[in-house]
Amino acid sequence: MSRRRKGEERFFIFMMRAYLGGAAAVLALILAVILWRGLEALSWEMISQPPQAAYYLGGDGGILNAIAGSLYLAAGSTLVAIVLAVPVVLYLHGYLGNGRRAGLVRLVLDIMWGIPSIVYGAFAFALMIFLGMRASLLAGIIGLALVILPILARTFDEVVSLAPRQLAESTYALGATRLEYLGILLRQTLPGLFTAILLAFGRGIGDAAAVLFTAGYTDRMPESLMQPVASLPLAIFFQLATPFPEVQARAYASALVLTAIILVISLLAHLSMSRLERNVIR
Amino acid sequence: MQTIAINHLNVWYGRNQALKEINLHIPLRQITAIIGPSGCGKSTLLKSLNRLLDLDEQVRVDGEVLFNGLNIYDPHVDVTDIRTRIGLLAQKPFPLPLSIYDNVAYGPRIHGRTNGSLDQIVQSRLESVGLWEEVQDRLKAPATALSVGQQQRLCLARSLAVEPEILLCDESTASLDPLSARGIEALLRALKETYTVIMVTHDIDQARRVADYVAFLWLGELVEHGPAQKFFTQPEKELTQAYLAREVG
Amino acid sequence: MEITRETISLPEQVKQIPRPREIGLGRQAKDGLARQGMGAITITVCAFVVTIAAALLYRSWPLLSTYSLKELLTSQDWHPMRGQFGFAPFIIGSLAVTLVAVFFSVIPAIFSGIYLAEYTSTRLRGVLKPVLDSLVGIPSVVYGLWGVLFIVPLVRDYLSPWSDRTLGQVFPFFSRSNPSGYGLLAAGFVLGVMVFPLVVAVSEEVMRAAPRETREAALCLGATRWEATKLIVRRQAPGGLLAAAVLGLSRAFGETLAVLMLIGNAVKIPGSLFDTAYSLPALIANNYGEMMSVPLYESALMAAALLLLLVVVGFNALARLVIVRVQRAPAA
Repeated sequence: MSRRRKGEERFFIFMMRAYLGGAAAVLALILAVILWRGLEALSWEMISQPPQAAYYLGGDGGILNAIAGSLYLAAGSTLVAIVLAVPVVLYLHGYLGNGRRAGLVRLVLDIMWGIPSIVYGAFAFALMIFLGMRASLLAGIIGLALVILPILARTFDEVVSLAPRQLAESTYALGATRLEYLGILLRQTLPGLFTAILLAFGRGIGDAAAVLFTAGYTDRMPESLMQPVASLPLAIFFQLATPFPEVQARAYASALVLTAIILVISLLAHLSMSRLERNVIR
Repeated sequence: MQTIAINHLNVWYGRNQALKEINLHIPLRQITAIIGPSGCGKSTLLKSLNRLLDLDEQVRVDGEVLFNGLNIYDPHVDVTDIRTRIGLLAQKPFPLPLSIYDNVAYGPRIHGRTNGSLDQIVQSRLESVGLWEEVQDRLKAPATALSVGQQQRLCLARSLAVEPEILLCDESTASLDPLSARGIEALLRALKETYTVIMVTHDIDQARRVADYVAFLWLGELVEHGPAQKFFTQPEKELTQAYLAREVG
Repeated sequence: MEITRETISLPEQVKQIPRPREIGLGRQAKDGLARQGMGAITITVCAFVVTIAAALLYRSWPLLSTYSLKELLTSQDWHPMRGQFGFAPFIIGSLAVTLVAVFFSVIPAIFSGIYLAEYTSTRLRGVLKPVLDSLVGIPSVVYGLWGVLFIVPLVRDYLSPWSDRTLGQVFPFFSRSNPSGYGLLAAGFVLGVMVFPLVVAVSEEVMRAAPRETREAALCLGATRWEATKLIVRRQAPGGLLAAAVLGLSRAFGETLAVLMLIGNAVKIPGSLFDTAYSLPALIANNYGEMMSVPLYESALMAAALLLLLVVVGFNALARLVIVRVQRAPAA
C-alpha cells in the first residue's frame, strides 16, 4: 500500500484522537478548577445553614436555602413532567407505532428540547402575570417543567423503543387490550424510566434561565408553594456578582456543591440502568 | 501463483465456536464450492479468508490461513493488500452509492490508477461481466438504477477491477432470480481460467453444476472434501450421503 | 332457495362449542378511555410550542404594533427609557458569539463523532460516552464560572496581548480593543465547549445510520478504513453532518447564563474578537427586573424571546427533518 494512503489515514486518526482527547482534557480541567477553588471556600456552615443577615456582604450563613430550593424545584417539575411525559410516550408506542403521526410527535418533542430555557422562562413569566401569580416555587416549577418535559419524554421514548417486539406479539396474542399491553410495557421499561427521571432531575437542578423570572429569590428556606424560592445556580450567580472576594469564593464552593450533586445523580443514573436491567425480560 | 492453505483454523464468536479445526487446501484456478446447511459456518469460513471477520469485535481466530506461503493473520501483514488480492462478492448485490462508472473505478482509483487508463479498465471489466452493451450509454447514472441481476454483475465487475487472484463468492446468486443466477454461474465458469474461485452455496444443484472441488461443512466441522466428480458420485461419509440425498440439513 | 342465518341448521355438536366471549365491557371501556386521555395529553403537549409562540406574540404586540419590524431589527439604538428599541446589537452579538463557538467546536465535534462511530471499540466507547455525558451535565452557570476563573485570565493576560502584537497589527479584528478578558473570545470558546458534546452525539448517530455493507464492500476492494469512512461521509452523511452542525449552532444561539457571565454585556456591535458584546438571551435575563417600570420594555423583552424562539425552532425543525431523512433512506 502506498505511503500516501497510509499517511493520510494516520494523520486523520491522530487528529480525531486529539480532538476527543482534548474534550476529555477540558472536562478534567473544568472539574479540577471547580474542585480546587471550591474546596478552599467550602465549609460545613455553608451547606448546613441559610444565609444570615449580611451574608452577601461577608457575613455568616450558608446556601442551604438554595440547596433545598433547587431540590424542591427539581422534584416538583420532574413530577409534573412525569405526569405529562409518560402518557405521551406510552401513547406513541401503543397507538401510533412508527407512522407519520408518531414521527411528527417525536419531531415536536425534539424541537421542544432545543428551545432555550430562557424562552420557557419568559413564557412562564407571561403566564404568571396572566394568572396573577407572583414569583414563587409554583411558578418556578411550571417553567422548569417545560424545560425538562421534552428531555424526559424523548429519553424515555428511546428506552421504550429498545423493548423487544416479541413483548408486543406475545402480550397481544394472549388477547390483551392495548391498555393492558402498555401496562406490561411500562413494567418492562421501568428501569429506563427511572434513569430518564434521574437525568431530567439533574437538568432541573442546574437550570438558571427558567427559574430566573419565575421562582424569584429569597434568603429564606422554602416555605410554601406560593412564596419565592432560592436556587443553587442563582445563588452562585449572585454571590459571584458581589465585589467581596470572600463572598465570591463562596460562589466557587456553591458551584462545587452543585456540580457534585449533579455528578452523583449521573452516577446513580448509570448504575440504575445496568443494575435494574438484570431483572427485566430479554 | 499460489492457492490458499487453511491449517488448523478455529473461529469463535464470543463463546460459540463457529469453525472447528478446519484443514483445507484450495486448488488453483478451479471453482471450489463450500456446501452445507444454513448456519454451519460456511460464510464464516469464507470471511476468514479475506479477514473480513476483523470487523466483528467478538470474533477470535486461531490457526493459519496461508496465501502465497504467508499467514494472512500475521500481525505484520497489510490487510488492505490481502483484500485486494482476495476479493469478495457478497450475497446481496450492494452497489456503492456512486454512479455505474464510479463503482467499477472506485477500486482502481484508490490504488492509484490514473484517469487515463481508468476508462479502459472500466470498459473491459464491464465487458467481461457482460454488462457493457447494456450500460455503455449511461455510465454516469446511479448504480441503483440497475436491476438486481445487473447490480450483481456490476459488483462482480467492481471486484475484478482491482485484479484479485482469488475470488470469494458468498452465496452470490441467492438473491437473484434463476435466470440471472445462471448468468452469474456462467461468468464464474469463464473466470476460473484466470482466477481461483471459492463459492459458498446452500444449493446443492448449483454446486453440481459449477464446482470442480467440493468441501462439505456441518456445524463448523469439515466433514468431507474432494474433487467434485468423486464427491457427488461416491461420497465417503454417511453424513455426506445423507446431506446429498437431502435427508438432513 | 335463499339461505339466511335463521334457516341454516347447525349440527348439534357445533352448537355446543361455546362462542368466543365478547370482550368484557369494563376492559373495553377502560381501553377506550385511556386512549382518549393519552391522546388528549399528547395533543396538548404538542400544542405547547404554538401556545408559547402565541403568548409571546401577544405580550410583545404593544411593541410590534408601535414600531416597524425593519426598524426593530436593524436599528442600533437601544435606549428603552427614550423609547428606542433597536435589537441589532443583540442579534449581531448573539450571531458573533455563536460563530466563534461554531468555529471552535463544530469541526472537531464532527470528526470526533466520525471517530466514535467508525473507529472505536465498544469498550472505548463505554469510556468516552460518560465523558461526553458529563460535559453535557455540567450546568451553564458552572461553565460560566469556569470561564471567569480560567478562560478570562487566559485571554486577558496571554491571548489578547499576543494577538494584539501579531495578528492585530494587520487585522483590526484581532486587536486588543478591550483588555478585560471578557468578550467574544472568552464567551465563544466556553460556548464551543458546551456545544461540542451535542454535535458529537448527533454526528455519531448520523454515521451509524449508514448501512454497514457500504463499509464492507469498500474494504473488500482493498480500501483502508479511512477510505471506507470517506466514502460513507462523502455520500451518505453530508446532510446529516450539516444538520448536526446546525443543531449545535442553534443550541449556542440560545444559551443564556454562561454567555451572560463572559461576554461583557455592553450594548454595541463588536469590532474585534476581544470586544465585549451583548447576546439576545442575556438581554432578556439581565433586564427582566426593570421591565415592568418602563413602558414597552416588557414587550421588547418578550419580542426578543419570540425572536429567539422562531430562530431556534426554525433551525431545529430543518435539521431534525434532514436527520430523519438521512436515517430512513441512507443509500444514495
